[in-house]
Order: sequence, then C-alpha cells, then structure tokens
Amino acid sequence: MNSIATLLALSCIFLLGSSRLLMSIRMVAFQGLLLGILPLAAAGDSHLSLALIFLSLASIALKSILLPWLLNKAMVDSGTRREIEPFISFGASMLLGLFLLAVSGWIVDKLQATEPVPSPVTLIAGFYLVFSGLLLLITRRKALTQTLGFLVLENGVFTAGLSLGSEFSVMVELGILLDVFVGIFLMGIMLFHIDREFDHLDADRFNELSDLEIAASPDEEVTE
Amino acid sequence: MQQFVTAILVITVGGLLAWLTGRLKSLSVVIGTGSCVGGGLLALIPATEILMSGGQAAEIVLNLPLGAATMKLDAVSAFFSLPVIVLGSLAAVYAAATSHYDKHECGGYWFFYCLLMASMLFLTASANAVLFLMAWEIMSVAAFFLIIHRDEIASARNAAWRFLVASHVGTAGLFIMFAIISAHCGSFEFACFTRTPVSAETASLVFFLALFGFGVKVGLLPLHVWMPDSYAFADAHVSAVLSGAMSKMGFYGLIRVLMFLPVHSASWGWALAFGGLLTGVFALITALAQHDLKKVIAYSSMENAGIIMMGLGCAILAGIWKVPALAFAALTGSLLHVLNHAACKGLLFLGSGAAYFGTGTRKLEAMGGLAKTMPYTAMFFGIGAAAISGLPPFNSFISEFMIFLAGLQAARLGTSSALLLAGVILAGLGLIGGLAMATFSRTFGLVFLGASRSDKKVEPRESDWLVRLPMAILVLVIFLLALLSPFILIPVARVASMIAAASGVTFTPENAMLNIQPVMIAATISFFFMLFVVLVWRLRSRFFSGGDVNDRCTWDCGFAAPDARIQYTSSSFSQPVSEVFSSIVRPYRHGEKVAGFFPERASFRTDAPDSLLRYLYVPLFGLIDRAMVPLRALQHGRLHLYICYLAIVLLALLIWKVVAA
Repeated sequence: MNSIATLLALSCIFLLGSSRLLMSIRMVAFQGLLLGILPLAAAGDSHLSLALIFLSLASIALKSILLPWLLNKAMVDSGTRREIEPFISFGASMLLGLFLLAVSGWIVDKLQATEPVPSPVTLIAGFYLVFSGLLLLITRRKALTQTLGFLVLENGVFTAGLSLGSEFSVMVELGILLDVFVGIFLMGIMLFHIDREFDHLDADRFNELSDLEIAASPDEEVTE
Repeated sequence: MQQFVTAILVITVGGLLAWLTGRLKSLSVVIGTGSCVGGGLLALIPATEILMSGGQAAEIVLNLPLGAATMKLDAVSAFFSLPVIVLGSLAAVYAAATSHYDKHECGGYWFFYCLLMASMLFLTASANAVLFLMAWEIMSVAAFFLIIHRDEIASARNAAWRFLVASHVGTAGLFIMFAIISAHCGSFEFACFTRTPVSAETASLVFFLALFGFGVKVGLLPLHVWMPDSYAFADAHVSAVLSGAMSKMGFYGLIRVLMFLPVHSASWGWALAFGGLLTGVFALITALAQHDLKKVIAYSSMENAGIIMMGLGCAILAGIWKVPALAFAALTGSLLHVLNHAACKGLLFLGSGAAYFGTGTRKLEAMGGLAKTMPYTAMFFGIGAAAISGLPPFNSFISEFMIFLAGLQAARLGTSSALLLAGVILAGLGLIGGLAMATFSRTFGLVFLGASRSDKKVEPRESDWLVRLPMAILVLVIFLLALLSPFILIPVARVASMIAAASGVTFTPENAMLNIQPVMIAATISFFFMLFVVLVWRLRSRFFSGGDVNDRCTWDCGFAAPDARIQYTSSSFSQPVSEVFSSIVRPYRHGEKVAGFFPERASFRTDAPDSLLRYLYVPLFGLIDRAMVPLRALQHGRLHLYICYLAIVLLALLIWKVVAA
C-alpha cells in the first residue's frame, strides 16, 4: 500500500514537471489505475468482497480508460499539444511540489500527534495529491491541464478517504465516481465548445467575455 | 391552517404554471389571476375565522432537514395577511385587465407576482426565524424582479438595483437580530423567543436592529431612498401591492419583535415617535415638489408609515407608563391605519395606473382635465385622495382620529414627557394632515381638473370595466372601513390586546369603551355626512341638471384667449409650500428670469430629487467606493488567482487547525 502511495506522489511530481499534454493525460490514467488497486490493497486478503472488486474495476474503467480517452479526444480536436508558458515554470513548480510534499508530511506528522493514523504514507499522498491538483489548477494556462488538475484533486480526496481507513461505503465511493465522471464529461464538452468559440484553450483569456474592464498587460498575452 | 398552507401552495403552483405557459399569453394571464384570486379567497377564510373568533391559533410543524419549523396562524398574522390577500387578488385582476397594454412576455412576470403574494402569506404564517427570513428573502427578490420588469428603461434598472441593495442591507440587520435572539434561547422558534428573557442592553440592540431591518421596508426616514423610484417604475398593480402589502410586512415584523421582548424601553418609543414624525413630514414636503404622479403617491405611503410608527411609539411609551387606555388608542389606531392605508394606497396606485394608460405619461405637467374623459377613474382617485389625506367621512380619518385621541389622552396625563409625546402626536398629525391635503389636492387638481396640458391630440379614453372593478371594490372597502369602524375595531382590538399582552399590558373593557365611543360618534357622523352628500347630489342632478352645460376652459381668469398653458403647473402650485421647506427639500430651479418691461420669454421649473439621496447616500457611497478602489486589485477576473486564493485559504486553515490541535 505504501508503495502505491509513493507511486502516486511520484506521478504527481511528474505531472507538475511535464509540458506535454499527452504525457500528462497518460500519467493521470496511471494514477487512476493505482487508485483502482489501492482499495484492494487497503482491504487486504481477508476483507475482499464482491462490491469492493466492482468498485475497483469501475474506478479503473472510468479513471484510467474512459476519462483519459475523452480528454485525449478533446486534446486532438482542439489541436493543443503542449502546455506553453505556465505561470510558474516547470522546474519551479516541481520544486514547489516538493515543498508541498514536505508540508503534507508535516501536517500528517502533526495529526498523528493527536490521533493515530492507520496509514500515514497514504494520507501524505492524499494531501499531496490535493495540493498538487490545486497547484495545477492555479499555474497552468490550458483548460485541459486544469481539468487534469481537477482530476488529480479528486484522486487526492479519494486517497485521503481510503487512508483514514474509515468504513467506507461502496455506494458513497460510487457516487463520488459518478460525480467526477459527470464533471469531467461536462468539462470535455465545454472544452470542445470553448475551443470552437475562442479558438484557444487558454483559461486566463476566458475573461474576454467579462464585462469587467481589465487592464491586461501586453506581455501576458500568449500565442500558440 | 391547512387551508392557509393550501392557499400558499395554490398561488405558488399557479405562478409556476403561468410561467410555463408564458408563450400563450392569455392562458398564462388567466392561470396567474385565477390562482391569485382563488388562493386569496382560500386564505381569506381561515384568516377571518381566526380574527373574528379571536380564538385558537392554528399550528403546523414542518419537518425540514435542519430541524422542525413551526408555521402558525394567530390573530396578528391573520390581521397582517388581510392586506396581502385583498390587495394581492384585486391587483391581480387589475393586472389581467391591463395585460394587453404590456408588450413584454408575461410568464415570468406572473410567476414573480404569484411568488411575491405567496411569500408574503408564508411570511405572516411563519413562526420560526429561519422560515421567516426565507420568506422575507423570497419576497424581496420577487419584488425586485417585478420592479425591473421594464428593464429597457435605465432608470427602472437603477430603481430596482437600489431596491435590491437597500433590502439586502436591511436583511443583513435582520439576520444579526435573529442570530442574537436565537443565540440567547438556543432555538429558532418564535415560541422560544417569547419565553426567554434577555438583558435590557441586548433587548435594545435587538429592537434597533429590527427597526433598521424592517425600517427599510416601511420607509423609515433615512432608509426610504429606494421607495419613490421603485414604486414609480413598477407597474401600477405592483406598486399597489408593494406599498399596500409588502411595506406592511415591515410593521408585522417590527410588532413580532416587540412581542418577543417583554420589557420595553422608553427610548424605543421615542425613537419610533420622532422617527415617525420626521418621516411623515419629510415625505410630504418632498412629495409636494415631485412631478411624477406615482412618486407623489410613493412618498405619501412613506408618510402613512410615519403615522403608524408614531402610533406604535406612543403605544410603547403608554405601556411603560402603565396607561392602558392610551396604549389601546394608539395601538388600535395604528393597526387600523395599516388596513386603511392599504386600501387607500391600493386604490390610488391602481387609479394612477389607469391615468397612465389613458394618457401614456406619469408626468403631472403633461396631464390635466382627465375628469371629463375618465369620470370613473377621477371619482375613484378623488375618493382615494380624500381618504388618504385623513378627511372625514373616510376611513383614514377614523384611524388618525384614534391616534389623535391617544395624543389627547397623553396630554391629560400631565407629566412633562407625556406632554412632549402629546405635542409630537398632535402637532405632527396636524402638520402631516395639512401637508397631505395640500399634496393630494395638488395631485388631483393637476391630473383630473382643468384642461389637458399635453400636446398630444389623442383623447384619453376611460378604462374597461374590468380595470375599474378592482378600484370600485377598493372604494367599497374604504366606505366599509369608515362606516363599520366601530365593529371592525372589535377584532382589531383583540389583535392589539394580544400584542400588548406580550409586554404585560392588559386592556380592560373600560379602556376599550373609552376609545370606541368617540369612534362610534365619528362613524355615525360620517354616515350622515355621506347620506347628506348623496342626497344633495341627487337633488342637484334632479333639479339643476338642465342648466347651462357649456364646456368652458376651467382657468379663464379674464383672458381673452385662454389656453391650457395658463393653468397652474405642478411647480407653481406647490411653490409657496416648497419655498417654506426649501432648506430641506432643496429643489433645483431651472428657468429664465423675467427681465425688462416686455419680457419675451420666461420659464420656471423646479426639480426635487430626494435630498437625503443627494446629500447623504451619494457622498457616503462615493466615499465607500473610493475607499474600496485598492481592493479592486483582488477582483481582477483571473480564474487562476481566484483558485489560488481558495487554495491559500484552505491550506492556511488546515495548518492553523493542525497547529492549534
């Protein structure tokens, strides 16, 4: 279980440092696969149930096959291949990511002082996934990467929930899965329409429609 | 109670259906009107039952997700639901009758109208702070959408926006107020509020927050600025409901809060009495300088709110001084005035709407002579105008008379503070009455008498019978309220004693008789006076109708070639009074001075936007605006940074929590 959590954290660092969208999508798909295995690992051999296996399979099917395929299609349709000029450079965001990893470790350490956590490494990974998902949302320009950030954030919530070892109900987890699916599906459709209307997927330029007058400095303008 | 809830549901569902059928205009109108009238009738039965029997309040407990909430219909709720029911249904009929003037799509309009009416009924029946605030919010938002209906007019948008801001600022006060009381008793139920005593300081804080929050709706002096514009730009029937019913919800709330607080403080009474006095006087002197028919009526509704507040203030002081007879007169008078004002104001707004549809303008300067072409509207408006000025033999006279009686009784108490109160009430009501007379004689004269000032050659036509029907019913209500006032006073007195009992004041039958007897006399005299007028009218039409009936210019004044332009204008009529109060109203004067022996051109026009708006709110909000400019840097419209704010706050909270643990 700890090794899966470590892999999750490493995939996040990779995501923060990668500029190619295709690789990012694949990495998120890989995360989905890891997340699918995680509940099985958490339950151990003794508690394996049919529902758990179903949940695991559904999670893998959704997060590592269906959603990546959808995002891939959106990427191909919009013709966007790379994340160019993020607000924080890839190297810096990787460093920031490591710092956030340290922060997550510190938080979990503090938490453990008050209440024992069954699986601290997984909880660290969960926090770290949430933080790096937020970091992706904040620092990337392309709406597609932001969708990925959102997915990573959701994965983090899932992982943190698992690590707390609470009696998680399959129904609740399935509900969350459905939620994520609908969310990403809608985002995919929206990305398609946004791309058609705006001719780009730069989330920082979506406020062209806003009636707020914004003095955007010319050096912030980005070209594909 | 079930019936009342059913009525609310009927109106809401009717509104939804009217919205869905918005494309088929006539169907939507029929559904909207039908549900308002049907729901109104359905709600009227339990309301009158409870008022007449004086009896048992009905309760229903809703099991909401966040705990149970009580809905309760007691005498006070039933009393305040009356204006909503009557005006809501009548104005719906009026709206249906005038809907062919409206080019807009009407589905949403009917939806919000029904929502407004349903939320007001819901408000009166809710006995839980959360339900109350929910109903209050729905009411405000529905009213906002009704006001902004003519959103192609920039001023209408401004007016609606101002209304929304004002009502939310007020609601913020209400939220704090309810939070304070519920924190004291640990529940949101009204029944719990009345049981839990609070300290004197907390009680004062609660009262003044309530006065602020509800004062916005009733139009208490510095909080009234949304009122004139909103009433002017809303459609006539909407203004009738807003002014006749919605602003009364403010009084309902205030009275409820007074019932939560068993021990009153004298400062509240003085605040209400002086606030009411200033509101009334300020409203009328500003009304005198207005040129928009509906703005005049809007300011007058503020004036009546002032009268009601003076009565309430007097009742609070009398309760503290332990003079039940005085409290009885003041409280019953102001409650009765709530009904009377609702009837008169409804009639006046509907009449102004008819005049608007006839002439196509609301400007007093462009009206005139409508009495000849729209005789029924003129008669109805005239009765409404006379009634709202507090003239006998009409209904407002009776209620103002009761507040006068309270003033006279206060004068007989002899203590210096009682004398001050008597002075405020007697002098205040006298001044307000006189100014109201001036305002409404000016309004009626400019709109209906004389000759038309308009350049248009289109002859205004009298409105349909269906437009006149709601007005005729309201006239009937006015007469009934005047002639049957001694009988109507019995249930009203029951409501008043229920309110007073909450603060430990009990009325004896002698208190009631002492005050009802003069009312009986006034009602009898009113009856004979009306009889006399009708008789004289019959005699006149019988014996003198065959005389000289040539149509002449009204303002002849000995000119060889009289012309509509030599009539009094709205500026010139009010100029003598406005001049006296010009330091408060501060009208803008436009025009050219008369110069030389044979002046060729001269003109004079005054224009009086609300002086509090100009001298208090515009500078104040300008100041706030400038102070907030640096914060605009945070509100830049960049999605990434917004998410960044969220992330930082979340992280900070998490770390804080972890470190604190």
